[in-house]
Order: sequence, then structure tokens, then C-alpha cells
Amino acid sequence: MTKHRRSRKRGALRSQLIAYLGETMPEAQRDDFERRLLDDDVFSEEIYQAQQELLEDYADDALSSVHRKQLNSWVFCSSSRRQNVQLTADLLYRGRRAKRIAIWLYAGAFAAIVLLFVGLRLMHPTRYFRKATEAPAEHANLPMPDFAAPPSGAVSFDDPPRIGSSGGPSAIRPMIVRLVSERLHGELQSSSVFTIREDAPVLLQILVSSGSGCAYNVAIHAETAAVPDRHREHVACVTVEGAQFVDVDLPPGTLPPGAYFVRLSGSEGDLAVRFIVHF
Amino acid sequence: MESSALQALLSQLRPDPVEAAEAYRRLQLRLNRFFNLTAASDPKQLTDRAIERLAQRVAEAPNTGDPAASGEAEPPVHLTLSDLIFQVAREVLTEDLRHAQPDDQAVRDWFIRTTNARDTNREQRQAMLQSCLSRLSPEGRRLLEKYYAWSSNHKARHHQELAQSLGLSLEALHNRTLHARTRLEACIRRKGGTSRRFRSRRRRA
Repeated sequence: MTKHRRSRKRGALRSQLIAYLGETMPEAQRDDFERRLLDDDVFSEEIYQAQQELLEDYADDALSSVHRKQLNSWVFCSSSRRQNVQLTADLLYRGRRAKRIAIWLYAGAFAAIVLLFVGLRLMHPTRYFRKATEAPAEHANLPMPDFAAPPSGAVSFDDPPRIGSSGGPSAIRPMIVRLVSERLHGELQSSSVFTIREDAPVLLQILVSSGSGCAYNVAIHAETAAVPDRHREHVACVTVEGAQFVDVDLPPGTLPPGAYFVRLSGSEGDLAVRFIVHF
Repeated sequence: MESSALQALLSQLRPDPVEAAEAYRRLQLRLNRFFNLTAASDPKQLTDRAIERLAQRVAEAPNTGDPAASGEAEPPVHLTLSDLIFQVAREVLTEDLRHAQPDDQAVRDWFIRTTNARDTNREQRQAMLQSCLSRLSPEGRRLLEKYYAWSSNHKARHHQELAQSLGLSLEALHNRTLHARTRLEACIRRKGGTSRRFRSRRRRA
């Protein structure tokens, strides 16, 4: 028997059963129906299946209001049918609740992953760095967190291996001290204060108001600390997102607590910046 | 039931004892389904009552027989066995429905309560259901959980897909589910009875 014919037969049996149970079937047909139930094994089995499906639909509230009304007294008058309906309703409730919980768990896990992703994006060091370079004036001369590495393309120095480079002590991350230089007209009044670690290398990152391709001679003078001045010749500017920086790597211990004055001498004039460090 | 009456019924069902036993089992099943569909009380009890009465009638009227079943050419004198089965089943059913409780308000209240979303006993029933499900075989439990996991209006498709995934026909799926469900119902009846007895004992105490 094809699937379509089987489905039609099931539909016909179901209609017959509803008519019998709803007492809308003529008396002669009722007798015949009952006789077949008692004589015919196959018919008895088919009607039993149809009865179970009908009870399932009743419990699921999937019957039309007319059919439901017709079947109400049939369901109500037998405790076994009432229990059948109740158990089916409970099994359906259980299944649907499990599905709802699973959906909530999936949704919660998805939301947690999205939040984690967004959080990681917001907290990633490169994001701080990008923000800082986009608006340097706002962040100038503020103590910065110790970043993982200086920007690429930094100049080479005559100091021992470059801090953070593959040949150097790559395990120790340099602390970035970001400064904004000013044109030198008399004495500088303002000084930024930074807290650094004694054992960490320092990357001085000085923003300069010059065009690309600039180069400066850098002189770092300790105003209060007892350390000799440091000089770098022809330090090329580094372009980071359109802004020009002069980077100076300093090994650990080269900036003891105290006030420092940095002078940048280039073809476009002299720039300077003052800062204070402590541990 | 008297053994002579039972023998009379068996011999009316089939001349061969082995075939008669099988025919008796099938008659019992058909009667059980008939009362399950139509009666108000326990179908098993009604089936036993009907068979007992049927056996007595057959023993009292030895000429009653079913030519199709027995294969005998001799026609029945009064009623065929089929007529007798129908008559007895109707009698038993009529008696049962006469004694059945009418469709009263208490039953309607029960139904409204148990299908209400705020049914206070639902969680208690769910706990009992969980406990009984855990006593089934893993296959039976999984089958019931999957079978009753259809979402609204997708029951037929859900069962078709489930049958395909298990490599069964739809009829086989329904049969397996019914068997698993019968075991579940037996457990719930046992547990329900235990908890009722426990409650009544506590009330008495």
C-alpha cells in the first residue's frame, strides 16, 4: 500500500472512530463497527492505534473545538483514558520544557561567546594603541600601560640589541612612555609624571608635529637624577596611522626616578618635552 | 471459571488445542481493546468477566459454533460464536456504563486543573515521571522522549522522521512506543498507589 493510500485509510478510520465515540454514527453502523472490533484482528489493531492518536491529540489540544466537545464525555467517563491523557500531556510538557531549556542554553552560550569576543576586542592592547594614535592630543603625556611590543618599523640605535626585538630580551616587555613634544620657545613649564618598573625596558614614544620622512637628533638630559645625558643621532620618524613619532628604546635602569628633559633637534627646528618618572 | 466451560470455549474457537489457545489469546486482546475504547472501568477486568460469561454460555449451548472458525460444514443451531461474543460484550459494556460515574463537575474540574499551565501538581507528577522513565531501558526511555518531542502541528512529520531515523515503519514505531508506554504506565500506577497509601497512612497517623 502506498504512503498516500495508507494516510487516507488512517484518516477514514479516524473519522469513523470520532463518529462512533461522538455518538453521531447511525445505530446500524455502530453495530457493524463493534462487530468488526470484536471479530477482526486487523481492524481492532488499527482502531486501537487511531484511538491512541486521538488521545494524544486531545492531550495536545490539537483537535478542533467540535471534535473536542464530542470527545469530552468519552475521555471524562473513564479513569484509564483520563490517566492516558494526563500522562501524554505530562510527556509532552516534559519534551517541550527540555527543548525550551536547550534553546535557552544555546542562546546563553551564544550570548556569552559574543560578549567574550566583544570584551576581548575592547580590552586588546592594540585597540588602546590605535585609539591613542587616532587622538594623540587627548592622551598625550598620560602614563600608559605596559604594551607588548613597540610599533613596527622603529629606528635602530647604537644601544645593545633592540628591546623587544628577536635578538634582545624578548621576555621582558618594554613600558611605553608617550610624550608630546612642543616647539622650544624659552623654558617648558609642564611635566608629565610616569610610574615605571625598575626592571623593565622603556620605550619613549615622542609625538612630533613634522611631516613624513623627518629625522631628529635626540638628547635626553637628566635634570635631577645622577645619570649621564644620552644622545641619539639621526633618529628617523616612525609613521603610525598618519602621525609621526620618534621612538627611543632605553634598557632597564637607564631612567632612575627623577625629572628629564628631552630635546629633539631637526631641520624643521627644535622640539622639547619634559617628564618625571618614579618607580 | 470452570475448566469444563473453558474447554468448551476453546473447542468452539478451534478444534486443534494449539490453534485454540492462539485464538483465545487473540479474542482476549480484541475484547480488551473493545473495552478500552468503549468502557468506563478497567478493561482487563471487563475482559475477564466477558470471557467467563462467554465460556458459560458456550458450555450451556453446545451447538453454538462458528463455522468459519471451526472449519465445520454443519451450520449453527442458535447463534454463531461471533454473535455470542458480540452479545456478551455488549451486555458487559452496558452493565459497566450503568455503574459508571456520570460526567460530573469533579471530573471536569480535574481536567481543567491538570491541563492548566499553573497546575500545582505538575512538578510532582514530573518528578514521578522522571523516576519511572529512569527505570525503563535506555532505548525505551529515549524512544518515549523522542516520540513525544513534537512541536505543535508537526506531529505526523516528526513521527515520520523519527521512524526513518530508527529504520522502522510508522506502524512499528507506534507499536514500540506503545510497549514502552505500557511499562511506563505500570510504573506510574505503582508509584501513584504507593504515594496515595503513604498519604492516607500519614493522615491516619
